[in-house]
Amino acid sequence: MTQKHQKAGELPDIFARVAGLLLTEPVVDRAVANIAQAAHETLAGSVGAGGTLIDAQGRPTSRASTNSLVEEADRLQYDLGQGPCLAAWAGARTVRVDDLRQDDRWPEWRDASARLGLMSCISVPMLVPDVTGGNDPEAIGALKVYADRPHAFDEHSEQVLSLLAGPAALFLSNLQARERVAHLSEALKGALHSRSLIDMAKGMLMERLRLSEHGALQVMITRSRTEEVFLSDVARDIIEPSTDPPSRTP
Amino acid sequence: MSVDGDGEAQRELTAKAFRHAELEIDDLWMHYFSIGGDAGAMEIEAYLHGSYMLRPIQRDLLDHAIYELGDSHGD
Repeated sequence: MTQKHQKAGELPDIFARVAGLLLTEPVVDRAVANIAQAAHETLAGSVGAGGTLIDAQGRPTSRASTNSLVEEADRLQYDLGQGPCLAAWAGARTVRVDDLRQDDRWPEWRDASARLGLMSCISVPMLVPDVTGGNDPEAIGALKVYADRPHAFDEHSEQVLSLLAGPAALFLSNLQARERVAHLSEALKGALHSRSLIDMAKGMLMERLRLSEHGALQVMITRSRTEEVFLSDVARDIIEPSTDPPSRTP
Repeated sequence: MSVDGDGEAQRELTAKAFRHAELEIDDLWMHYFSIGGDAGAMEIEAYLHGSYMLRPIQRDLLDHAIYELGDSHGD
């Protein structure tokens, strides 16, 4: 069978799994675990697969793997600050190690992983279009498979893993976006509450002290600075002086 | 835009505090909004860079938002 035919046979299975994720999996970690499982089962020679979301500082934010071996090899990379996944993420390109014993790119990680019995691996970046409008895609993490024998993977394995990483990356970035929106809406709720407190207090001062809006605001800002409490705490104290003191008071 | 001496002087102080505090515009805008600010993020950014003038109340609120987010106040 030619490579093309092989790949054609595998793709429906891969996309069926990923499509299932798109519809049903709400949690990032669980989603990464399923993608890793799909990679592990799809690639012959794999002893385990994993996916890691990596933040802009190179720290893993979310990870999942098919077994503890992958987890350990992965943890070593981030602890040592070197390895194929970090290289795949940082360079936004596929990194393949055919024989770990003869690879000098990440000596510390190589020695530690060799002790785990790992001999070869592939890491592909999970790429999403640059949100700031640039032409180069942005890497949000890496997907990797490991093997316990050398030369377990070839260019075809790279292609399959890359194909899996594409939709996985888009899906995961959507989840990240959704989390950001959830976070933003929490912040907005807090901001609206604080705003209404400050407006209310401002109105009370305007009435009580016969001040203009600007004058009332200046009174509150001055209090905030001299008492070193937030403006919202000043507002709270104006609205309910006895029952709700500024948060700075013990 | 009319010449506004007080506004210019206040803006200089506020812009200096903003640079010193090393804040992201989005974070600053959210806090400014939370204490009653009405201007948009682009407007406050333009104000801080000297190409837009805010009304007095908005200038005071923005200045105070930077003060509250800055190191001097803690968190």
